[in-house]
Amino acid sequence: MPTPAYQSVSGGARQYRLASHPEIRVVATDLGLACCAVEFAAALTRGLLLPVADADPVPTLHLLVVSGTLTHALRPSIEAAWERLPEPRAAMAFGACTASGGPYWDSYSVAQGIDETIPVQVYVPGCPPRPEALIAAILSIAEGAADVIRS
Amino acid sequence: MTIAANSVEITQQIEWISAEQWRDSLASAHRQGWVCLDVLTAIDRPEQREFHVVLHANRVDSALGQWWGVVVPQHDAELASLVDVFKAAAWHERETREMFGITFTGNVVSHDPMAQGLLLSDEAPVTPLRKHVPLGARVDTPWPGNADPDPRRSATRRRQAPPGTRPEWFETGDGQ
Amino acid sequence: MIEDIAIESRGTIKLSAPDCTSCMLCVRECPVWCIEIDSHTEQVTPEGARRPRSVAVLDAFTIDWGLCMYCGICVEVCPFDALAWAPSPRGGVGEAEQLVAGIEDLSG
Repeated sequence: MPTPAYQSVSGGARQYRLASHPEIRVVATDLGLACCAVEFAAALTRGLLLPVADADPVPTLHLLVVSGTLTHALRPSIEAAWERLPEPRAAMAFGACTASGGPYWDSYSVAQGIDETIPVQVYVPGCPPRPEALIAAILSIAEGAADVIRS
Repeated sequence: MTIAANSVEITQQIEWISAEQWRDSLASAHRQGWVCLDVLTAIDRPEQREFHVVLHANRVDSALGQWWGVVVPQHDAELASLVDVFKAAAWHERETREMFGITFTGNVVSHDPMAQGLLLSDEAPVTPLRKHVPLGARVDTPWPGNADPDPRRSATRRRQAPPGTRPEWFETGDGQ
Repeated sequence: MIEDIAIESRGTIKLSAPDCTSCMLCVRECPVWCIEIDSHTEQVTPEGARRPRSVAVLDAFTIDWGLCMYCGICVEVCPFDALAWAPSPRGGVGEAEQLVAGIEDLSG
């Protein structure tokens, strides 16, 4: 169950866990900014991710999946979402826009990636990446778990 | 509106209106059922020193959409506002002014210097969708295509502007 | 899961380095400027030839997967079919620098 503080920033956004590995307690929330969010949604509709239930054990890691183009105007919001994410926490740059600005790297309004705004633990290439790539990246974070942010 | 299914070009009929007739023609169209403003924006045509201001509206009684267009000279980039025909025009005209510098007479927000900054931050370039305004990142980033390992080719090959750029953005003017 | 991906999917782009002549067409046509090539020319004299010829030697070929938008223009434009789609997508990496793939990575 999302903590009240987190829920207030995420607007009640759901947390999701891997369907294939119920023992892995990494919970992911999508910060859907643009098209890549559709691939996160596809992972949901295909049952690759399941909503975290009230009865689920405490997460071992809170994962913020940033999917879509980050504009300069939105940087404070993404910072706020990261700051209020409970620890231990990690962020995933999902798709080319989050890595570099993607096709919009030349735009006056687009940030060239998210990693100058929040720390990033894994970058998933793609435009957009497939849902399978999202699942594999969550698994790699869960299994490696080297660069998570812990207080 | 015609779509040529097997050709590479999709052609859409634009109904061209004179600047003087712009407001009255769209008011008439609105009365005839074109009630849903989809987009009102501009196209910069620097070689012709003009803008094409284009509007797309939909009907709600069918799936039809229609384009209207008007030529606005760049030396006098002003056009009548459509706010009293389409309420949504207030936002689109404000955006078009911010991006292209075209003013819309009768759109209070479009004329008010204090009302800038709908979308653009203070750091953003002025009228960024004008084609002469360079994309800074493209100008500042070395183009990988400049490198050519074959010295024989460099002298003879046709000089190519990097994709996504216009030659006028580069100060030296030698096409690099 | 990965095995169910259709064979024609744009998972990633593979390079056949022996087929690459460093013509630079892919580099110059890429809309996001994500390909870089470094090469040099060498003079080789084939057996029995009267004079040497110039051949291109590919030193480096990189694609920055953080920029690639999977448009496929590079694959289409290559006159030697040195670039091709492969269905399996690339995995995530821990550092942004690791998104830049070189010849070995692209050939694999």
